[in-house]
Amino acid sequence: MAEIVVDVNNVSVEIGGARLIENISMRVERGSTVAIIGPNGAGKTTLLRAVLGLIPISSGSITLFGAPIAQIGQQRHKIGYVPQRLEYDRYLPLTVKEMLHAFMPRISLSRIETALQEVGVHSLLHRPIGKLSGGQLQRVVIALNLLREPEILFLDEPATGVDIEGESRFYDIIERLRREHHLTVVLVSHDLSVVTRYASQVLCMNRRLLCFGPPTEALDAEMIRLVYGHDTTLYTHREHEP
Amino acid sequence: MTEILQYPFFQRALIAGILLGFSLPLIGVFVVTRRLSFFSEAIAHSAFTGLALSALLVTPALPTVIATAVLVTLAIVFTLHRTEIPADTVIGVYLALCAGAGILLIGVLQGYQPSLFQFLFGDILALAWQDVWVVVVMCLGSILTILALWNALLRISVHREMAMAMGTSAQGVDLLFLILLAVMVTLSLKLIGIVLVTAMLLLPPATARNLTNSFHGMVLIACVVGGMSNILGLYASYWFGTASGAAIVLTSAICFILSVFARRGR
Repeated sequence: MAEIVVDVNNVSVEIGGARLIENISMRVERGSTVAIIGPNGAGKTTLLRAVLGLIPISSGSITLFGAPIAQIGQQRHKIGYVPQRLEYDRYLPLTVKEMLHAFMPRISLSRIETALQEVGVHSLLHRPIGKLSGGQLQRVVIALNLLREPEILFLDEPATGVDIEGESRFYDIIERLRREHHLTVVLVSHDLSVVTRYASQVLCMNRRLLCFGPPTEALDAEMIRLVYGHDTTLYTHREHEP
Repeated sequence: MTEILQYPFFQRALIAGILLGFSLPLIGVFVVTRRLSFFSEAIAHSAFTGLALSALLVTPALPTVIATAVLVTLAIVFTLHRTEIPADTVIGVYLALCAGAGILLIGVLQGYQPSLFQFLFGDILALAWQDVWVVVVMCLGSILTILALWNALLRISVHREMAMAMGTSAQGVDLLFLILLAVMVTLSLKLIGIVLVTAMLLLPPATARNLTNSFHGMVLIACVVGGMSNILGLYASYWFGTASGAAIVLTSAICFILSVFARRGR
């Protein structure tokens, strides 16, 4: 059996008296791609933030690489994170190179160039981040994470605001990097096609856990209706049929 | 032009002006980036309370004003942490509280309060050597602190949670930066005054932002503009016989207006 790198056990999160997620459990195996899906407000981002230790949990337990996130210390570089969108001031005069150096002060220029090349944005080194498109910026953030040599990458709806073709290319890059860098990937998405194409495990939630398992087993018509509502049906394209 | 340099009051003003003109924009760059200008305004207004307390308790003005500013900073941070009220509202509440408490306490005091007018409008030409030494120590301290926090502040500016997920202690860095900002704003009050101190903090970074696309360029230009504005402003106040603080801020404002036209041409 593969090593468990993330163990979420009966986790609930309560903020300001409101219960945002309740009794969620999942176990992420090394090298797998786990997609967290659910409708808007289902608590997907809350779960991700809890796993990353950005918000406190009210009950349950979370371990990464066998240790609670608060005690992970020197191993924190093993964790990569790509947020939904960067919340910086768009007019901030900060170049890609300066941004990467701020996060990785001791990294050499050649390593920065290599990481940018891996995600196809090496020409953007001296471009201000405010002048990048959403897709370009997300690739720069992926490059930043690669510089940290992570073992697991958390992505929170990373292709939000990117066109359909750009989204597909983006997930192809993630899949290639997962294979080449032996990464474990946990991604939040509301896009079922992403789940069926890339995920080895899917966690469906709507504040509570609805399903967890391989997409072909966990995502039946009944579950999709439960997650997304009565009018939703899954159509399989011929090239993706088993 | 050089004869004025022989006067010790001008030498003191020049040393303090250049140092503050360089170090305030260094902090101001992050104030602009993090959108904390309203916080600086609230801290400047906390000086009203600090001065009134200093007169009531018969304590030295500057340490009392700095202590009050730090306490107000901690109160703002605590309130933000305990509530879900937007930051600008919380800062506005404390600004009103500080100004109100200060004016009320000053009203209670009898007679003319010279230190109040010095802090309200500032007078860089009235600095004593001991004031200059305080400025030297605080400016060097602030430059070293900013250099130590540089990358963390930039990381938090780009994405607070991503920075935290990657190991940056955002709360600790924020608290340290806000206390530094509070101390430097109150220290500058004696030179520029409550009314104009925020301008000295913001104008050079705003000017620099119009002239460059890189962060390092912005910092360099802001510091040069800040230092030069102080030198030119001091000379202008000497030549035209005007208030020095206002001349420094107006020089900086002229630089900003020129940068707006320069940006159009880029």
